[in-house]
Amino acid sequence: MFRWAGRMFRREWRQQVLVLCLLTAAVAASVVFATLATNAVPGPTAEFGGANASVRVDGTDPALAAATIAAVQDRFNSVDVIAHRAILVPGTLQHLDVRDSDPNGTYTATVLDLRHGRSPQRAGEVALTDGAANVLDVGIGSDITVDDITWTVVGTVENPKDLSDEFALVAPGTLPSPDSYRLLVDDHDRVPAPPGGSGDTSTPQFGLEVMGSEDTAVAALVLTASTLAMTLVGLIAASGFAVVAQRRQRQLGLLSAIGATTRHVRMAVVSNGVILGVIAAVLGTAAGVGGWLLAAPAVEIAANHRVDRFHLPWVLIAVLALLAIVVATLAAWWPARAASRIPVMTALSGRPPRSRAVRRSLVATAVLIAGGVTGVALSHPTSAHVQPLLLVAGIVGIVIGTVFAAPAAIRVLGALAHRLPFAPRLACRDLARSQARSAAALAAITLALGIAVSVIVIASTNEYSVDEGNLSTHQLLIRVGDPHTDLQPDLTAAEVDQLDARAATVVAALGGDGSSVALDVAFNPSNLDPSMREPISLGARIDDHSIRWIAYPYVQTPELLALYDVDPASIGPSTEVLTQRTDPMVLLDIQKRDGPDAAKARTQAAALPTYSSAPNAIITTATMEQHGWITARAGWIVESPGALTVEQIRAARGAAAVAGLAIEVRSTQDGISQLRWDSTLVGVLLALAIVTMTVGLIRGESRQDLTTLTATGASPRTRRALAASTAIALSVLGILLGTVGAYIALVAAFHSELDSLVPVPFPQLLTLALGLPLLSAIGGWLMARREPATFSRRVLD
Amino acid sequence: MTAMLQLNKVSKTYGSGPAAVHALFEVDLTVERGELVAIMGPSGSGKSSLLTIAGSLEEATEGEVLVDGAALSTMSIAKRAQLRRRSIGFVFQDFNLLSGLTAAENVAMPLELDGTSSRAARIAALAALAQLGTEDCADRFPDELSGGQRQRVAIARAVVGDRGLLLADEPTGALDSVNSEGVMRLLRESCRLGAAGVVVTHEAHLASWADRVVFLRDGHLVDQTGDAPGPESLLTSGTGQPA
Repeated sequence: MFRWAGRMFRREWRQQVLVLCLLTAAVAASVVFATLATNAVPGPTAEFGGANASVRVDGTDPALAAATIAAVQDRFNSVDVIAHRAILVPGTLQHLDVRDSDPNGTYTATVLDLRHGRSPQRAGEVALTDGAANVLDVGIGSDITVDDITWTVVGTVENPKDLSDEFALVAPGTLPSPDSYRLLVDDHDRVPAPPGGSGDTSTPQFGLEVMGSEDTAVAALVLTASTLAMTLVGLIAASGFAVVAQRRQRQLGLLSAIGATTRHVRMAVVSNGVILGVIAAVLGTAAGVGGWLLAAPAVEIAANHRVDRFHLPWVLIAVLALLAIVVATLAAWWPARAASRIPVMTALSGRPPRSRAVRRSLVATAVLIAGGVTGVALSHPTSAHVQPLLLVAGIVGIVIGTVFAAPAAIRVLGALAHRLPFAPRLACRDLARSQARSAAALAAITLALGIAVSVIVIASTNEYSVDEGNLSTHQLLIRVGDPHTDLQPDLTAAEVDQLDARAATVVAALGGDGSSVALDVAFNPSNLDPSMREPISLGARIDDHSIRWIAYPYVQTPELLALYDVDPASIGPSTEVLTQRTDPMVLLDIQKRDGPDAAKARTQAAALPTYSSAPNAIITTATMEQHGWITARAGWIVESPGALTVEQIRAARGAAAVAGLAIEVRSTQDGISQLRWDSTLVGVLLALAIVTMTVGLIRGESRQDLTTLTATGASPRTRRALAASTAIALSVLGILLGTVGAYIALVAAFHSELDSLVPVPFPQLLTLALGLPLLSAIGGWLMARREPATFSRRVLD
Repeated sequence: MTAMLQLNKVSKTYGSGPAAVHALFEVDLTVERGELVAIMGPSGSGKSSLLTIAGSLEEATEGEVLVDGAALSTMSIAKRAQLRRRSIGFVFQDFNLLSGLTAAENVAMPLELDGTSSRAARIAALAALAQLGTEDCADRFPDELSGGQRQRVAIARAVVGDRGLLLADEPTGALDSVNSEGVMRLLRESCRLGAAGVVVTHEAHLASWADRVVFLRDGHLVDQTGDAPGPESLLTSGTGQPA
């Protein structure tokens, strides 16, 4: 029977090529997922290098630091010392880590790579990471002066375990006045303690930080991804094998007629599953490994660390390949069982048996989704203590539950079809009639889209919208400095004018198309001690005992009110703060912070910006006078008529550095945005492939219907409309079920922080909702272009 | 008066070279309105090819086919589809009803495809079903109907909209003798009302319902009868009046 199945496959492989392609793609995706998950997570080695433990030492007391380092060196056979000093990048509020580390150290060698030039070898030489070089706007051969120290850039370096680790590397032992040290050690390589202990109580004590294991998280990721991919494989395969069994119905009937048992018939279809599974496993594994080798450079950028492209999880890949065969075999089992139960004469007639409705699917859907939601919610997926098995079980429950909803959705579609025009009516009825196959295909589409929607929504929870973030793309904030240390409430008018003049040079660097308004913050004059002072703050009351800091509100000035079109006459006499926020707020004076007398601030709504760094709250003049608060120049907000360009920002940063000021512009989140669009594209393409396959199979199977339609006078347009309607129906149902399923899983996962799921990523979801049906319709329309070629065959029968 | 169907020197060849099969060879056939012609012949004689060519489903390799005076060879695909919707009705051996549509929807299909509103098409379909005595099956799906009922629905679909040419390919092949006679009676009745009919059949007693029987062998039209008296003649007296 296996031999017969093999020969049949060899003869009819073209009819199964689409199923094979999708299976292969699913296996390849699983292999890439597994490899990606294994390689993409840098783990703690980014900090620990080749060590498995570290000791942090404060550098503010050099003598104590030296003693602690010596004590650590006494306890461990090998210690790599990394000295750090944080320096403020001129013209910004960013700090850069200047690092003193041995590129050839026992443990540090794995976290330091020279990219270009050479390593610093003497005092006054430095090597920079690409990011640090960009921030400082220098290259190899340039000199940089920071904190009165001048360094010559001699090379570019990187931490291969963490490409986002930006630092400046100086020659070993040449970093003046380190802020802190990190000592890398091997916890298992200690110097044997003398009998009875050292007895020296003057030895400084230190805490050992042992490297944690990320294996559980990686395993959970791989397991979840593989589970989803394999479920997808199973659904695609089940859909494909149902069609294969249908196509071979007459031959299987013939087998039965000459004495084959139901087991023989079942074996014939299952054998086809095994053959297809083996081929898909081999091709998919090869494609996955090949794809990984090609994608590895891009993965390095996305994962922020160098990856060894030949570091493949071979055992996991072998398990995945084996799983693909098992899943394909299991997927063939159900169609095989159904085929073996068709009465011989019905099978010989070639007419498809009347499909039976899956009546228990809705009950199973409810039970599985409820169980899945509970599992996901209890696994704490958004916390650091995620329980991987519970999470995977929950996700599988929701996925299978959603998949079980597919037959019911198709039945509903069929029931509602009577109101539709001819082509969509027939398409929906055909889908409902061939429920077993169309439900499997719909389930696969649902899963593909559900995964895409989940990725899109999760990405959007980490991204702020256009009206969120620190500033708009049109805004630039010039800061005097750190609000705690650099603002001076006691400046004279002339000194303030000088500050304004320095800020004007920054505004001028933009090219003259920005208007600026000075921003002042408020201080309590009784608290001007430089070590203690802090501007009057605005906080949001969370409960009776806690307040969340919101912002340093700026002080009302005519220019600031004019900038945002606030009429001074509209400000009520008792209003303390103008803001667009509506939640209970308090004005915080440092001496009263968190105290019970931090009364609710009297706020008045005003159309101020919503951005966190823009003037989103203004203390009224009346309040300033009432409390006797004084002002300090804190910065200037620049509103540009257009979005600021990279060149303008670079020029402004340079001017700010010269003027001793700092600038702030909108933080970009290009990566997350790109991820959302990439997920949309992948989801659409995968779903489109499944829709195309299903439409092709359904329309191929209903050739006789096509003959009837043609004989009845259906034009090519009607045939195309029929295929397009089938594609649209599957797409729309897939989007509905996929989105609902994804949101069920996400609500379960984010149940403790539901507001993070808002705003809904409408652009991507709408692209899915409109793009997929449109592309599917076009695909279906094009697929149905040919006349049926059955007439001549009938003649020759 | 123009013949409803006219085949002039029609030949049909499938394939080419040594594998070429000559299904029809210079066949001439004319079917007038109100006439029912039966085509008989062994398997592979070209009966079905003749029918599909006459019905514009396939093109003749050579020769000319005229339906109601219009040459099929000059028509576009869309025009031929329109012809099938408005003038030609097909009845197949295996009924060929769309299982996703109810009986009434199957019958209404040619009208709906031709742009008639669903409501108007349904009214016409119900009338056609009523004419064939199957109006109670209107809202049932094909797999809920018996073989005889299915073929009646198929005939209703073929005649709905007053189409002039009825082509039936072994319409009784899947039916018992009682239903077969019933189907032939319906086809005969449709022709009496003005349609031209062509029926492919193997069975001589069913062919006897036709006005004329054409014999095909190896693609050649080898013989044809004159106007046959038909079995109904047995029920009439010599004067043509019912006995």
